[in-house]
Amino acid sequence: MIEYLIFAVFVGLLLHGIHRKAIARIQGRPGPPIWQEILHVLKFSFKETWIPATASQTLFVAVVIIAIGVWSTALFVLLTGGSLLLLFAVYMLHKIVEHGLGLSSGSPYGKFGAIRSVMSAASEIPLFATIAAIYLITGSLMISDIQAWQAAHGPLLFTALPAAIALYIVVLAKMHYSPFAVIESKEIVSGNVTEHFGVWRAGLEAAFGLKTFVLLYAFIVLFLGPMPLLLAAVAMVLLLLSLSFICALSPMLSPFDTVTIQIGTAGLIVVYVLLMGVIV
Amino acid sequence: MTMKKQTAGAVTVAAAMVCVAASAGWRLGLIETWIAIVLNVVAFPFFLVALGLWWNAAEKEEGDTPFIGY
Repeated sequence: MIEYLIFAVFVGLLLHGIHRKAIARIQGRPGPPIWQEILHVLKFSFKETWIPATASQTLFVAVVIIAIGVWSTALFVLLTGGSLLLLFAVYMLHKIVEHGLGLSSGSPYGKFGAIRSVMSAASEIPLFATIAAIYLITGSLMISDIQAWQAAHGPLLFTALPAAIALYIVVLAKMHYSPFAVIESKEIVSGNVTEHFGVWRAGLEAAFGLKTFVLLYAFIVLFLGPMPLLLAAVAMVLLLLSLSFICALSPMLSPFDTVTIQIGTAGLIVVYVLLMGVIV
Repeated sequence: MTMKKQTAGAVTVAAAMVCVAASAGWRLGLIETWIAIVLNVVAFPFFLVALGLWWNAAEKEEGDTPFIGY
């Protein structure tokens, strides 16, 4: 079981590396090697590690442990075919991590990141609508049941395309260099993770690697259905590359534009769910 | 606040043992899946962070991780 966690961390970091490489190539740069993010984690874990004097020491450290724990839980919910609600409850806990990271350090850049994290809570609204759409079609919120439904009826991607698009935007919002990644944009240094360096940053990068693995795999499981591991890996890379294209070609949005687009997406998907609820 | 290298090492070993024991116990059918998951979810973050702190802590002088602040 521990092997799943270690595997997911390494694959997640490798996916980050592929993401960076793809963005660089699209922008006409050579980019780093795809294993760069794995090296980053190792590098950070050897860097001098300390806690800023302005930080809340307990929260500063605890939030790193919580981040890893949150995405470890999400991985197991996904692998065991548990409840979709539980998976996305875990996803919501990630908000606490984002706030905690920014607020714990005492840094103004971190606090700006934390405040933007509150604003970007709008990105979670399409998620609820996605869950509702999946439930209306499959009649269950258990991931194992949703997979069984797709095995019998075909991928939900075609049956519930608007819901898939909404989840796609949610996944996009959580990617590095995303147009929605306002919490870590460069005008606030590294945003909510500015003061977390050394071992703390290494732990966070491992957690974010897990997050990327879980979100991409969740999209595949929820909208393409059950498939062999190798095929799922190929699908995850293709999904990632599509996200990389958007990240490479889109500028970082301002915070209010981010919220506007995400609320707009949520509004459209809510209309879709209501129509589906009436029709079905 | 200081974290001694030996303390970080002890946490790393303890957390690793919990993860390995839980995983092995689950494979052998000795413990329920949910118990193995809970043990791994709790122990794995401590393992990762303590491992970093352990190999980061100074060998020389007082052997502490320098939580010196600024």
